[in-house]
Amino acid sequence: MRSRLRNRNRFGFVAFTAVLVLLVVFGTMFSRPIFNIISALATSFSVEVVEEYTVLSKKVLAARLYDAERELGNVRYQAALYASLVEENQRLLDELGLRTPAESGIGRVIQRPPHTHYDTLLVSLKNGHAVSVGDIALFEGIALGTVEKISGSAALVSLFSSPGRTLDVRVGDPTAIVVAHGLGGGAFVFDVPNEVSLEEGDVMVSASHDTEIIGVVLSITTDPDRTTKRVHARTAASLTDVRFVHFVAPITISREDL
Amino acid sequence: MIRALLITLFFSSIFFLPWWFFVGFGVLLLSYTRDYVVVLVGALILDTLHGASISSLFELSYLYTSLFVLLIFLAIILRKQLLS
Repeated sequence: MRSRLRNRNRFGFVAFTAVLVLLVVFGTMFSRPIFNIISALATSFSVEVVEEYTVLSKKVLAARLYDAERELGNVRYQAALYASLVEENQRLLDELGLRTPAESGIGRVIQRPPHTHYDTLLVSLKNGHAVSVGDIALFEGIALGTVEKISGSAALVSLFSSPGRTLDVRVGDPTAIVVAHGLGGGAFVFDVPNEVSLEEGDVMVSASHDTEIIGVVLSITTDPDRTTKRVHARTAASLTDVRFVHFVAPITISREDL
Repeated sequence: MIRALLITLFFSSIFFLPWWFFVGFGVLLLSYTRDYVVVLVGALILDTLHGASISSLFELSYLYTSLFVLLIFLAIILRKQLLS
């Protein structure tokens, strides 16, 4: 009787451990379908909201249309200015003979954080690639890190968010150039002067290249006793979604070029 | 049998599983089978594969090797103390 009870206890323990291991290993696999089912249920039960515009008078609608058209005109003007600036910038780079960031290769991400404590991506490259140490790894316009080492057709990319790593970034309005400190796991922290207006969700871009997004502001902590506010940010891309990365050589400007 | 299984799981975890599995299997190997060399070899493989210098840890790029060296010393000292 006692041995049967002990066997049952042992079986229960083994079954519990097996379920726990399955949940840990396959948890991420199951979470998405469950989320999809729940979100589908939530949307089917949600109450339909009355369109805002159907209850507005003609006069209000006309005023709104006028404002929207004026705003569109401003945006078009700014877009034209931006295009001319980009063109001028390209012309200057060409005249100085500077190298534009040409793509040096593409790679498939084999392993990503949190596989280890190192904030690194292990990337498989094609044979005969032109990737070299120091190249910047990009994912959909988001700069993730730089190539730390290459062996054969594998490259190790050290993320900008590696613990203790620092990086110059541009944030806020008026634009401030600040030093962001990596915290690991795709997180950053930096201080900005209180005068710089900044909101959660604002983008931080590389100080050297406007087009390279580094991260997104998560939270802002203001202390009345200090002249700066502390900002926590994270990498703009979820590292679990990063399947492929592009590599570009960084632009280097020597003294002779200038 | 268990030893072979643990060693297989330990080396598989380097490539396929997150770090906490690797460290867990490493600690099990240290405490139950005393395979110090196997654990050190595994840690070296992991550090060679993924190791990048960590600024906040004095540019250390052999984090897991250092951790297991410390754990091995601790295990030896504790074993001696407890047996004496």
